[in-house]
Amino acid sequence: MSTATAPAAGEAAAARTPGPRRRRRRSAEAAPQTGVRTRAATAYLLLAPNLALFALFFLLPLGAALVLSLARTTGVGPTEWVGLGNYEQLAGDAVFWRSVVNTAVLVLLTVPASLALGLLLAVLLDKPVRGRAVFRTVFYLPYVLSGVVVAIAGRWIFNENIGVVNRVLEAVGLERVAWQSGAVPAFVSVAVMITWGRLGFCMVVYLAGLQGVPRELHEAASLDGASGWQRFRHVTWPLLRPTTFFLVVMMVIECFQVFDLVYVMTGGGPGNATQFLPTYAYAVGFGARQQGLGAAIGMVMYVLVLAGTVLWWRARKDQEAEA
Amino acid sequence: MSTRPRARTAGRFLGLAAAAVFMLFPVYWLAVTAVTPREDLAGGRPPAFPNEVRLSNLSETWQSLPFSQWLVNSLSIAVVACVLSVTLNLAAGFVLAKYRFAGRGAIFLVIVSTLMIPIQVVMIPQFRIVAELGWLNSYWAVIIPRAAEAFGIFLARQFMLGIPDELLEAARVDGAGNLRTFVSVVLPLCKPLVAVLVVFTFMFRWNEFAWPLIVLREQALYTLPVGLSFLQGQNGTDYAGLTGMALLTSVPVLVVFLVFQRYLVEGVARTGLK
Amino acid sequence: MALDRRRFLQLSGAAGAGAALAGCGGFSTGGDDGGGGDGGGGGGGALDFVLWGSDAEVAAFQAVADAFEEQEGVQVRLQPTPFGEVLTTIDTGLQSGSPPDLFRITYTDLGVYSGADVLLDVTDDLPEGYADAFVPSLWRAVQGPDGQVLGVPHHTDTSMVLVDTAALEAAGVGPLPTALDQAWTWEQFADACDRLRAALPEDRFPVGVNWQLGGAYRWLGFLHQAGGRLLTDDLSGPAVDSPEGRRALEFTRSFFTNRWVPPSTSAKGTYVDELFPPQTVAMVYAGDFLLPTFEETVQGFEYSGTFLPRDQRAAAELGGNAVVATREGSNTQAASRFLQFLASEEQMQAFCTATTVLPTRTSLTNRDLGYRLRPDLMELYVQQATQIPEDLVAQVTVPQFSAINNALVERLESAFVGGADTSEVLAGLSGDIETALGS
Repeated sequence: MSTATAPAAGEAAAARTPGPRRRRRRSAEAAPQTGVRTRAATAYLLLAPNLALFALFFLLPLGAALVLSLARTTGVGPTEWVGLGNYEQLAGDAVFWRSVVNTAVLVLLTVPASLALGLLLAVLLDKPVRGRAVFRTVFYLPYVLSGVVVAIAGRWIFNENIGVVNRVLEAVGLERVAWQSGAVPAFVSVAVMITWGRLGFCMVVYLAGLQGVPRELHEAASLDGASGWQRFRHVTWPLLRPTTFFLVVMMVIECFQVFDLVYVMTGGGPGNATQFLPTYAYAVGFGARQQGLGAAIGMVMYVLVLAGTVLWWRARKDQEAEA
Repeated sequence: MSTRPRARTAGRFLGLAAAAVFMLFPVYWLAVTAVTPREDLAGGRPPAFPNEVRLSNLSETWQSLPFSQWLVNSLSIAVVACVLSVTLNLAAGFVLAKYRFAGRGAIFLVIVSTLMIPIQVVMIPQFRIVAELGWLNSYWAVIIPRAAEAFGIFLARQFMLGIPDELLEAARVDGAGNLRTFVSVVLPLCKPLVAVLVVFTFMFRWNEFAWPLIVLREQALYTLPVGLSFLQGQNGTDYAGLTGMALLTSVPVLVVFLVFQRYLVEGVARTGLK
Repeated sequence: MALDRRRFLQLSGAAGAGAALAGCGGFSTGGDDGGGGDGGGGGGGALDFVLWGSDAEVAAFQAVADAFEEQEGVQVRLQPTPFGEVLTTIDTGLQSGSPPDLFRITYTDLGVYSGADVLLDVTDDLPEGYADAFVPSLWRAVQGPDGQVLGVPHHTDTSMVLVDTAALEAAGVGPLPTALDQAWTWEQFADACDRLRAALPEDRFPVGVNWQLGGAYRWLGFLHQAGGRLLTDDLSGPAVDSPEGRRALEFTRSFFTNRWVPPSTSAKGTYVDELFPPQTVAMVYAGDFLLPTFEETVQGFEYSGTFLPRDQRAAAELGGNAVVATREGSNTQAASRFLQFLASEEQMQAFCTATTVLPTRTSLTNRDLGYRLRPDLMELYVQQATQIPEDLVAQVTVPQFSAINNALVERLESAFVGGADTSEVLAGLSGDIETALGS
């Protein structure tokens, strides 16, 4: 049951080392250089296992993928070096640009929706209410289902001929919608299923974040006569900033990893209406086995998200409580 | 005075119930599909209400493939990987949130940047590395390459930013070492964080598909999600089997959630300055 | 909550036991054979065979493997893999120097490997005249660019038109052709679709065609029926931008404009075999391998079948699978012997009969194999399979075909639902083919 209290080896060693405990003799504010250096050493020691694993299993393969993106290869035949040829090819590829635009639109639609709905549910569940545990589990459930299965459900619900959505529309006297053969409706149907699946994730993280909001602040604000909305706006929301920052980054990244769901639900169609960067990268790299080109798309995706995150971080950094 | 909060609670309950109906609707359809007789699933489309609930769909599918073995494999991998990852997450998250040292921002960014690597692009180089290490066809091939988890480190850091420095300083002034400070001061404040990390890490490891598929080459070593894809064949999908098994295999993940979820909301006194 | 905890403890107990059990399996490294490729380590030169298949197919392969072990003393270990993941598994194995000894592969995916010099060349291992026993077009499918033999054509599949008998009768569509030389012409097929369209309600459709995603190459059947080709005779460039290509594209596009097919069944749409049992479509282009599924899911109506419609000529599509061996395998001699054993008359007949697929040996194509499932339809399928054009086979087995097939998905999609005009689509497709072949 008890999780993760096993100390990392480095930590234990650091604790056992009978090092000079100079810190006792000084106030926390005026840390002399030696103390800082000891702490830096400890910090790196604690980070070492993580950094080693990242270097071996992520950074090294990333370098390999970068090299691969400069080549034209099917992976099972000879390799031909083309320099930036793959990137040039992408620049002139209409389907690639379509996927870029689609991915951007997907981010703009689903990220705010998932965050807002997740936060709403978390706030509703933060105070006692009948059946709280059941509600939480129900909202979390869609997130644990595999993309393939969510896509199967989505395909039935949005089926043009016999799907439940169209039946309901008909029943209330509205027009049927071409969920499968119409570009915009197909996109909407994918966005809806993606949001449905991710709500639970945002809710859980926000629930943990809300734990960091001290009750006393709310009580104090109440005594000052602040309404519920004002308390949320001026007490809760600012304190949830690190959580929101985390969730925005995670949700954007998830948009750059959407695959199973789209592949099974729409196959990227109709036309290329639901073609996103990950599905296109897969179709090129694995479907058509143009591994170099697929790697190039992967690199573009990586740089896009990385640049976005850095900008986002810079923008938020000044507001973050820096230790 | 006292009726208003009650009315408000009732309102919240109704709102939540409405949301629950929406959230459960697709799941209801999957459940109906799972227990509808296969011959009634024309083209994999479930009826709105099943005429007959056939639970034997589940047992038939379970016995048609080595699901019991896969369940054991999945549990072994997910539990070991979860303990390992969460330990590493907490250590790194704490350091990145509370230590000031040269290169901190850069390291944090590098770690977060690994989150953004499209997995299919690095899968083959990763596979080569694991093959070189001689780990193919062992659980370590699934566990170790994913043990360092940017997601968890990132989340841990964001959470620990909220721990007041005064607490750590106080512990230090009392002469507590790094480890003692961490165990006696930081961890008790991190219950919601640990709960979230366990819930998500367990789920990620449990649901992982592409990577176990290529490093575990024998059916006997497969995990449940990999096994599930056997139900989608060249000649179509066994919808009843697939939905039934998908719902069943999400049960352990939900159990983990149920066990840990109380730490998400049982108000932990976080100010620490009382 | 208490119940949850108890259940959780039971589960964690199970996990502990599982970890203990797995101690001798998944948690051990080294010592086992790591997937072959290490000079026959493990199992005395045993062969690893990556394949996918229905339960019946895997069982039939296992029977072949058992018989082979009895005769040759070499074990063949089947590695069943989900269909959608087979290529990834094979590719990663090849690229990391630990490929399987044998794998099953569709004819249309074979080209990538045969062009890349990773397959075992078994030409010299075969007895004189061995190839003559096979249907020529299918034998052609397992040959590499220089005519070397790189595997065996294990079986084939092809599509026909299956029909909802009552729906056709109600629409006044006459008796179905039952002989190849009387197969419907395109005009007769169009007439049947028109009658069905008039008779069926709005949410039901005359026909579904199986050209979705990986099946996009099936559109080439229409192209060949019109007398056209996708590639030039020497397979070096596109030949699709022709009057015949135009005719084929306009005919198939009219399926959508005339509402003969559901609008959601374009090249990226829903698989049509899922629309036949619920009677969304009255006729469906379907492979013989779907019969076991239909026998289970088609409830409440009778169905029969007829040949693919013909135009300038008749053309059936190349379906089915080959089995090949890798050059870097651990025991290539045994692998080569296994391929011949698998393709022997006795083993092929047993396999086809057990799994409702079609043989590739001429001695078996003219014989009643004793299919237990819908022998009436299987007889027609066997006849239809004789119409797979050899020149079509040559085109769909070029090494670049998977890229071409992807281009076909894109271009057909733009024609069927994107409103692109015929000249634009054919010119675009030609450009894609040039790009693919030129690499």
